[in-house]
Amino acid sequence: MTDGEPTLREHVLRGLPLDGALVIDGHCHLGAYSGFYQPNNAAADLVRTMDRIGIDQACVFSTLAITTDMRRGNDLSLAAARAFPDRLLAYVVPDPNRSDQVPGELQRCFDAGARGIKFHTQLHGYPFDGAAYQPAFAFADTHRLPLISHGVGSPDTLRQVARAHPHAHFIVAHAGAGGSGRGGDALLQVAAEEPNVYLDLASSTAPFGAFAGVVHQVGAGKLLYGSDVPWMCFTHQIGRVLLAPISEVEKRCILGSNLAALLRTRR
Amino acid sequence: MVTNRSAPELFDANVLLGPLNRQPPGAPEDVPSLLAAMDAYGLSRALVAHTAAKWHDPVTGNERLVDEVAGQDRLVTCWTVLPAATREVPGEEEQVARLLSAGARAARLCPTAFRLNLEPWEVDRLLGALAERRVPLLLDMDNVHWSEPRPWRFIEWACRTFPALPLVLLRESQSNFRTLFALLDRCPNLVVETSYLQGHDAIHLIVERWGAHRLVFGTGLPVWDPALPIAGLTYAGLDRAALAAVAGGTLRRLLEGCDV
Repeated sequence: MTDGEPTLREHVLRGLPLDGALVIDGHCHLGAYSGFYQPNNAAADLVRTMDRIGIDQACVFSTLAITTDMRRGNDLSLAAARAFPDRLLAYVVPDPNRSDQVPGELQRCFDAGARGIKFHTQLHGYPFDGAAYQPAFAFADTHRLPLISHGVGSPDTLRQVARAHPHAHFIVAHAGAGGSGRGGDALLQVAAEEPNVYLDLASSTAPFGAFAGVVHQVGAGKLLYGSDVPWMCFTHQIGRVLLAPISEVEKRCILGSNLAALLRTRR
Repeated sequence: MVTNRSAPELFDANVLLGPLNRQPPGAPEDVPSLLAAMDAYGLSRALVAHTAAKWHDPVTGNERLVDEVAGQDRLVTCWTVLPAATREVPGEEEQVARLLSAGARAARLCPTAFRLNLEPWEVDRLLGALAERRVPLLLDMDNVHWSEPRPWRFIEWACRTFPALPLVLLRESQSNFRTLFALLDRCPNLVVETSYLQGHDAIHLIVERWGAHRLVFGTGLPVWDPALPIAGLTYAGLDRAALAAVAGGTLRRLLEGCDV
């Protein structure tokens, strides 16, 4: 930023696109969900909103893959990334209830360009440290991929899994916004202490002052912007960062540069 | 790079003044700290109810609200109201008359805080008195998360029975669109406050289908972080007129509609 350019706070108050900042949304779904109506949920809809806000890239995983159909769902994510190769990064979802298919599905999607892995332990009804997830941990470790999980068991469970797979980047979904969210202080401590554990910000609730408290407790280097669109919207979660009482440098780390570094390690 | 866009004038429909029982660190609790917080978040004006009225006693809490905001033209008072069957508050028509004569231009009903059941025979006189003077009613269910149930039968009954009553749903979420959209079609006096409305493109969609007069901007300050709904509005992709309406024009129109 140079003198005269708007600050990030001024950007959001005026609704200006974030052209001068690298912004990567690490938590995006695609497609419909039965549980509630999610408007404009196709890849092109997401990219249109990203353009409006100035979001450079988004990590996408289809809702179909985290509900009933792993392979078709992963195909939707891969197709979205092919349609918008500079903007959407596909993550592969392994369904632990189809454990015999998981290793092959991980490799198939990785070969097709998948950039990370997504777990949804709640919708798949399976524990984070269960046996069927082990191939995905090993795959993330081997290929140095981000692995974002909705549900990580206890903080100690997460710590053990992270230490056993030191080259994987573990991202705890919905855990970085503060308040009475998942995990509490013990989980924040794991993120602060374990070099390969990060927290995703997506959370519908936002108690006053809570997010700044997490930044101070965990450090901006361990927090990643994610919106959970279209379950929620890009806009609200990015506002949490842009208007937080933290420094511009911290905001830019959280908005994109942290995740960019994790995505670069793929091999 | 687009840099010449100005910020909308934000008139926050959902603010509480006063101490909370679990005060978040740094949260405002009096008029000076509230005004400072509003400055920090770019909020021009706020419609405020008092925590003492919501969580203690409406009569003395509303009096305290009037005293504390006297002379503050950025703060508009919203009285907390109750049905009068217990006689702990004045009769419904008297409450509404006092509210208006004190300068308040909206009422807040807090069924969770006061353990109201929202039965028609419980609240009909209150809603009738408010409708008679066209005082907007803010429905505050103290909901925290989108998975919690909402009193849809009451909302539909209230809107249809009192078509002159603007009914504003505070902290409505994205999870109820299948129900909410049906009501927006059927109840022209139903208005949604945006502090928790986080569906993708939802603000744009509602404005497109029903008009900017069906949404009022709000934050939930000081319980909730204003940052999320502010970005939700400024990045909603609305044209200038619709943005100004949701940001404050719709609320101003509702408040000015009171039959003083």
